[in-house]
Amino acid sequence: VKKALLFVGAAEPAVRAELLEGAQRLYGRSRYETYSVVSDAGPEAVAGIVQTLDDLHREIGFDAVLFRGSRLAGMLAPRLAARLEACLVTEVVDVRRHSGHVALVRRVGGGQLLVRIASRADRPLILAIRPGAFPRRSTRREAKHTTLIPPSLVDAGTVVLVGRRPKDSPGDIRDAEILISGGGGALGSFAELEKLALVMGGRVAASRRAVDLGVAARAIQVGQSGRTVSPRLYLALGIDGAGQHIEGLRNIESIISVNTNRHAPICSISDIVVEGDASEFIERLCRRITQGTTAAPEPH
Amino acid sequence: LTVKKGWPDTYVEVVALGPLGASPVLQDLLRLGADNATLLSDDAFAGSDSLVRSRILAAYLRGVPFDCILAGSQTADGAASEVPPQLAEVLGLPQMSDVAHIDAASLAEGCPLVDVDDGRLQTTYQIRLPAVLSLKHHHDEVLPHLSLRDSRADVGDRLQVVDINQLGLAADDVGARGSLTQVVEVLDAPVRREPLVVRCDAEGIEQVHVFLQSRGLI
Repeated sequence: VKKALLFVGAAEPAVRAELLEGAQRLYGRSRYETYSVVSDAGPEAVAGIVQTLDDLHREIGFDAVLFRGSRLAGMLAPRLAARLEACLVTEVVDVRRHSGHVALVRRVGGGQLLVRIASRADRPLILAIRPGAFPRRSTRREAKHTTLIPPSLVDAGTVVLVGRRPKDSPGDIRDAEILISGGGGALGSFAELEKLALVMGGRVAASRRAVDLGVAARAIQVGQSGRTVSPRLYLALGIDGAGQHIEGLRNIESIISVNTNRHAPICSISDIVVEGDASEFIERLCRRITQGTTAAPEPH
Repeated sequence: LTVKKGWPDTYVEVVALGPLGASPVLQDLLRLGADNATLLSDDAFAGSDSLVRSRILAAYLRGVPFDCILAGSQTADGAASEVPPQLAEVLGLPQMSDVAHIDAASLAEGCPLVDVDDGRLQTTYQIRLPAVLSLKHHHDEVLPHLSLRDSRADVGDRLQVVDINQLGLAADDVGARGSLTQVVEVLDAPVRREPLVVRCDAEGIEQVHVFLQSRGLI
């Protein structure tokens, strides 16, 4: 029986479901059981968490440890792999199995690599799964055993959390992971764009049209005569997406466009097209996000 | 280099693992003010996975004194950022990823305060040295310009190349043979599907919300 350990933050049922799906893809028809470790600690607790996982591994002997990609997972998974002399693959987007051997597909920059795990390895496998790569299905069984990491265990003393505060400056739009970008169709909504950016933890950007009309600063302009950006999410509101604008978009993971014209050029490269008005979209999405995950959607 | 400016007795060594073709980059860093540069280079290292690369770096770093190891957060190709945490583990040091800013005065005192980007927030940690700090790339931070005269300065005497024998490693423990994982194929980027078109009503917003959640964006 294969044993898979899932590392989950507290109050993250969605993450648990994704990791369960990952374990299912790894072991498919073979028999396996899952264990989970739940911790709410941050990067200050890395040493303690790795020690806990190491102790558990000594006791149970895992075949795989699964993380969901995040900054903390990015610090934990490589460390644990070094500690356990395990095969490490991060940014995993797919699992393929050929005659009993597991091969993993991982993302790199804008492309993908197929990574084979050395077959001589009787070593455990440590995976960091790219968020959203394994859409969760409802039929997965729950983890067999759950271990909670108590706060007392995670105080290593070498890394101390001093404080948390709003950023001094918003920084360059090229460094942002989420860009909320406004164009000619959102000229009256720039104050609201800031509101959505705040709710989503992103930055406001703009098209040349908005900059030329004096609605936005030149420093946040995306496109051929502005910045080239590579955020994880580009939310384009009221932007038609002329060639000069698209030129400034590189290796973007997801694009959502909001436009009254569903045939605007940017729509053809979007994952989701929302047909409608930018400011109404912002208001509704802000409300939906602040509502949280458990609340029922508003009635029609 | 900022710390070195304020505390001139700071010693900065640049260490890289790669082919001999990496030397010009190291030479330029020496011209910009680093004291010494070391290139760990050997044909046997080719094909090493991140754990083996960390061990090669550790084999060198164990033999030199240091207070702090500064690393990047992403390589130009893989962007996996696996080496700094693994190097820290192999050397038994604390490590922090995505460091946006290091307070120079506290670094000089041996207990640096570092800021980590957290979306709109900034978290500050204090880290006991020795430690590995992985810096996040920021577009507004660039190295000083190297003048034409400086760019011709001969710095060859401060650049050393170290091979597998000098590190005391065995050829079987490095490269593809020593690695547990191996890249076997480069795949094309996935084809983008037809967009999902929704309206700006409760149902459409719900679909956007589910999409954002599934991608870990909210």
